[in-house]
Amino acid sequence: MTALLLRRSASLFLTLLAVSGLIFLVMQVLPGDPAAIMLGTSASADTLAALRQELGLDQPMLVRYLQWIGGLASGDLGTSITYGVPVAGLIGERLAVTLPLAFIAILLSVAIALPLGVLSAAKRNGPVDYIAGFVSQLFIAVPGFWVGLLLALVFAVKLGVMPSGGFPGWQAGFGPALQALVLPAIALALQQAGVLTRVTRSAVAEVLGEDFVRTARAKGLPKRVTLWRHAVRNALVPVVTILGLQFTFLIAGAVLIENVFNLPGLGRLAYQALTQRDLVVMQDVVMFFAGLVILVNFLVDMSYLILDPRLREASR
Amino acid sequence: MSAPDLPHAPAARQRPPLRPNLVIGGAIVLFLFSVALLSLVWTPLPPTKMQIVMKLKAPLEKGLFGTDHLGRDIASMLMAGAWNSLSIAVSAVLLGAAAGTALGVTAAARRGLFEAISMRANDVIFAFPPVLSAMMLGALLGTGRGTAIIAIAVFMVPVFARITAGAAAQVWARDYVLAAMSAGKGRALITVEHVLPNIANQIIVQVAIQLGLAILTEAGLSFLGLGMAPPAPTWGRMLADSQTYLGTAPWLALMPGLAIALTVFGFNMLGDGLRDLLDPREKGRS
Amino acid sequence: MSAPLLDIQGLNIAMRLARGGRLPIVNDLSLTLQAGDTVGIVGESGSGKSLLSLAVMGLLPPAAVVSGRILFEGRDLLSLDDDGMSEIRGRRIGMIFQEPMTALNPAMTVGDQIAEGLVRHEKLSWNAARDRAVELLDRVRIPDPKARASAYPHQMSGGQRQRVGIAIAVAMRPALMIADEPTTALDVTVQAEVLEILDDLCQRESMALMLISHDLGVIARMCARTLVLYAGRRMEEGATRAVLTGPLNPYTKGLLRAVPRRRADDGPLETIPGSVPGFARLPAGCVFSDRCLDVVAACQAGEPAWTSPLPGRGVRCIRAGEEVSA
Repeated sequence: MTALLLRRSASLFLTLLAVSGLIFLVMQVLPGDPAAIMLGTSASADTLAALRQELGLDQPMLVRYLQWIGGLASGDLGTSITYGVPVAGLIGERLAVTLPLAFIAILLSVAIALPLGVLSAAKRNGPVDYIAGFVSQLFIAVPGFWVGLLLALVFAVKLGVMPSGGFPGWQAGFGPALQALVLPAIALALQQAGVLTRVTRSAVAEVLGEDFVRTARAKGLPKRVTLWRHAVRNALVPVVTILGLQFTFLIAGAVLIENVFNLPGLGRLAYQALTQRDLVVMQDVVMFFAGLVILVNFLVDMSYLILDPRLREASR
Repeated sequence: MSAPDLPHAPAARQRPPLRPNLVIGGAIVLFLFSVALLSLVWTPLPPTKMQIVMKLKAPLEKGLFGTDHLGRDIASMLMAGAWNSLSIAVSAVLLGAAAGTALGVTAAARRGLFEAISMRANDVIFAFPPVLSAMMLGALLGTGRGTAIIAIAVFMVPVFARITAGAAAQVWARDYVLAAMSAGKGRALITVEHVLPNIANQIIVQVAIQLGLAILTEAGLSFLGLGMAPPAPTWGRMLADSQTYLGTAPWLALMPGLAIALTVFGFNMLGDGLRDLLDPREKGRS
Repeated sequence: MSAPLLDIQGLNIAMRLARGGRLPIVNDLSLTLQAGDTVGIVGESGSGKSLLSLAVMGLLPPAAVVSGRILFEGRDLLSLDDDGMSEIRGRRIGMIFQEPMTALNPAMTVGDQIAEGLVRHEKLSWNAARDRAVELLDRVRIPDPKARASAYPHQMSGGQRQRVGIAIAVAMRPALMIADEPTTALDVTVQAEVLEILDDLCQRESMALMLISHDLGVIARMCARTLVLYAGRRMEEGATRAVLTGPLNPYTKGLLRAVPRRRADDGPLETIPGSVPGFARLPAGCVFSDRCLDVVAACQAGEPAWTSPLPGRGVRCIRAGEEVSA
């Protein structure tokens, strides 16, 4: 178990290193002069040289890379050109919006998908199954940012019961802050819910055909207990796998939704960095998101050990 | 479940011969491609023609679906947007599928270090949410059709590489491939003669499914202004523009979103239908 | 004689076909068991014997259509809804399945799998039920039961898993135990011990046993009575010893000839020519007529009736009378 943990951690570390190398290469090497991109064509030679020096562009590439990942490791992500503040603090601030948003969206999608998927698997080819199948196809097809727009239209513009955008900050109190996240989280959750419903349905349906489900029924357990205690429990591995694989789409969705609702999150920060050509912030935010995706998939990998006792044994 | 004593019992569940998802999905996709192609030669009005006096007209008041804040005809923009969306999505998926398949079948043929490295590289690329890599590329290369295509294609590469590597490895384990090997055929030749024809179905199914995803991503990118440059109409930017007029002209937000949803729905249904038809092992998976 | 424990009368089971229509599998099957009786049901695979056991448990696949009567302790099981059946399953009728590898939940400890029936039916707390599970593991002769109760199925051998299966089935001391090929999937060396455990528990708890097997040796050892099935029909029934030593139906004779013996002078092992025909392609008349060595023209005229040429015996063969008088 510990050996496996070590091996996986080493692999996690190597992947993170490879991701950082790729980002560095793309950001620093491909286009030529980052300073020129950041300042635009009208910049004078003096300011250009000054920025170059501030970014450390006069140094060799390897040194710059090592400085960057050294800074990543120690929490020093450099200074934003536009905001003039440390990027680390900037990311921390924005994280306080994006993480709760993603978390609520995941909870919401699981809360929708698990019962819906399990119910359709239990009543396969029944009316519930067909409706759930159609609804999940709908959820998958409808772009989250459009759902966001429509939700804002109905609940903010027409009914006026919800804020149409913006974020009061957590210091404004838990209630108002949470309220600002409700519509965005719904918009973000629907697509995930659609995908998860389908996976849950097929995973549970497959387990329901297993011999041990019949054994459980032969003990006199009612269908409901057999379904949840035996079938769903054994169907969780594929469901959690998809949850992990979908995380990258959740992040992509969050970037869009934050822009629809004008939420000061990491996705909005990435967008602002794009429009302001702040490559320092861009590089760090992309690294942060990619690292998050890798970390989530690492955790999913680890969760198999809890979900499937057979794997626990095999990895010893 | 171990089969109850039924030597010739028929399979309990059989698919009805007519596959509604294939028919519905195929019809939707065909319709959209027709509209996209039609837009190249005819739209009710030129999609970029501005008539400020006619701005923000409701549906049927001016044109089928009304006009936007610059007085452009929404129906015409939707048609031209169909071409822009589909052409980007199709190019990106074909590009990603070609590169990913090449990578996947090579990994399966070569095994060893090449396989280990290319599959790890896939994990690395897969960690970049598509919208984010488009932003990164957009910041460097500037935004536009090419950037959008590359960003989406890059994301498709690991998807296709994984699927084809797995499927190809299965083909490599078959007897007739071993026979071909012992007959002295090279790995490249075997890949072309035996492996690719055998995994073609899985690739086709995946192309349909990924097209839906590509449409969604393209819409997201153009919503953020990372898609085709204005004034070329895109569904995503139409939605972005509609945001300002949500209170006064809510219909602006309706049609482009419906167009995106219909397209993705069509591709997904088509993918499901093709999967049932071509790749029965994967039945019911998503 | 008191009312029988299990009284199956005129049971028919058919499968609904996807193309429409029904394929009859089990036909006009009747069987009576008194409390504590042991009956073996023998037949080749495809004879419908597993469907019979699933019908008694009320666990037939959804495509199955069933008619007739299955009276158990005076109640018709076929008229009960699923909740009603759930009260009987496990508590009054226990069942052991063929595949110990797949019949246990891989994500649940074996102790909990034994305990959950007790929690359900005897309203025990989980802790009390787990203690009982340890006792039950001991009774099926699993060494170090306390430690093994917290093991997962994949940590056990096939023989041990089947013993867990037995422990699950006997946990509530049911009046009837159904064992569907309980040793078929096991190594020969383990088979004997598992049968002994089963035999021992049935006698001690005075459970009736319905043992389904294709193996006449297993039936001879475990069951006082034997019912021979072929293509979903009763072919012969009687005391096991009488059926095995004086078979009346040519099919039973064929089965007996196909049993390997230890004697060296026996010549090559005989088989019954052909294989069980598909249910959609049964011959006219007697269903065994196309493979029967003693077939005569009259066999194909119509399905032979179920007759009782000797006390305590039943047979479906028009020529059984010749056998008795001979």
